[in-house]
Amino acid sequence: MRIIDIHTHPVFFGDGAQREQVDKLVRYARSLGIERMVALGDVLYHGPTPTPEQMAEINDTTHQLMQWYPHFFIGFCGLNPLWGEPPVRAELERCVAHGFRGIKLEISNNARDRVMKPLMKAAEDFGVPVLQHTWDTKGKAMRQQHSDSSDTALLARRHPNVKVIMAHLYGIGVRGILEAKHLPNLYIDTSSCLPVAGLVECAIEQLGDDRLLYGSDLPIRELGQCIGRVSGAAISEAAKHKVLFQNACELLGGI
Amino acid sequence: MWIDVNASHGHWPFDRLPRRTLPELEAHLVSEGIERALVSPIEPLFLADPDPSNRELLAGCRACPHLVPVPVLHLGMPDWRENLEAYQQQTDLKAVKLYPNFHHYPLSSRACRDLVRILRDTGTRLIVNIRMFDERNGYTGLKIPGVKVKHLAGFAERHADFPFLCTGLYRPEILELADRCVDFRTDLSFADWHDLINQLLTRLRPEQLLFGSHTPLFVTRAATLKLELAPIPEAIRAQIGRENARTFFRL
Ligand SMILES: [Zn+2]
Repeated sequence: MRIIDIHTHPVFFGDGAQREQVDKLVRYARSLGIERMVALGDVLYHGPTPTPEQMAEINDTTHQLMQWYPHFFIGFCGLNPLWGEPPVRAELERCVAHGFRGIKLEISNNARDRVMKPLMKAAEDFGVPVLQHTWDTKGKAMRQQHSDSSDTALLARRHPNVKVIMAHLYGIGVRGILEAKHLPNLYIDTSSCLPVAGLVECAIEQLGDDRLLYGSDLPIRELGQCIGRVSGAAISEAAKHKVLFQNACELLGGI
Repeated sequence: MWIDVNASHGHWPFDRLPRRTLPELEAHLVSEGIERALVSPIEPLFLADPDPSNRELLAGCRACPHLVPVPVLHLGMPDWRENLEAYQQQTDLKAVKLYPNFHHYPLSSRACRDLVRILRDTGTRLIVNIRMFDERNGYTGLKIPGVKVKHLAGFAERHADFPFLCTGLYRPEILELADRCVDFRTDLSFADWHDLINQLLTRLRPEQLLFGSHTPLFVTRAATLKLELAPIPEAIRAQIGRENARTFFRL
């Protein structure tokens, strides 16, 4: 079973940054068939709205992982859309030059905010996907920062030339799947939460098998549990291979 | 092959889940590497009287050697003692299960005290279900919070020499309860974190952890792989996956 994990935080609130810890994690992940991990950084280490300097520090930690294991970790850089265009573009440019291959957006703002426009333009110019933290927040105050699936879907609709990954299949549920249904540039990752039965099947039924990506949200989740949600779903073996490996491989432009 | 201490049978109306007859459930669990499973009916969570569902389960499980029926008791009902006695007479009853948050009675109730006394005398084990779904993203119309750790700790304190099993505790709740109570057991269906088992074992004894899948609400293989792929010694894996249940429930 070949696996690419599109959603991990190998360093989490400082933990996991030591070389021995990273060696151990890579060894363990490889023993499970995981060939690549997309490292999203310790994104909340400096709170929900990090400054450019704070985010650069987080991204440098991810870069360190990439240097230690260039054939295992793929970096997505954290950015804060609230900085405005020049700092966003500068940090993205710096990270892409270091080999980062995508952008991770957390909870600085909602994905439907106008402030997203320059960032998405930069993503399009650099040809990198955007992984957006998403949850079912409709009708909740937290929605101001925590994008609802309808917000992330709107982001993808506004920027059809950018590939957007809506995080947390189990946090967005059936409504999130349906929000993504008619948007070919919108992907969903299977990360986080608990392994509710039937959701992977529902996603495949509604989206087809090209737009679902395996993700764990390590270290918040146990890798075996996350793999089991997909490998134990009632979908074809071919679809499992696409979700666990092939779709991410194509999205990332090869590994 | 594992022993699953947290499986259910019946229709859960809030997710589109696989619907299986008891023989189908048995076949599914066996195909996932589970040699025996403790199964309770889902229906009593939504009905005042759990007895008809329990009887159906007990009858159905006679033809399913891999399933161990665990009736649900509703301690708010007047006839739970008679029901329990009838189940004990009908079958070699291993355990009963409570859903205090669905049935709205406190673990400090007199009925709970009476139940513990009866179970202690008869050697039947107690399972307390903490939750059926993740409160952060369950169906919006269903607002049933999990049983609180402080209530479990109080229960454990009142019945100090009476070990019981909790199903559905989150990882932080397991750790919190471990600080306050020495003799509870927990399944791992709702507990999650990288290297979970090793982390829990820094605070709990191996005999306190039991394998539970929460089938059919959760993907069964998510639970089996959580155990099978965990970086732990094989002896510990066998203990958590099988031996603890065998000993605790006298299977
Ligand atoms: Zn994450």
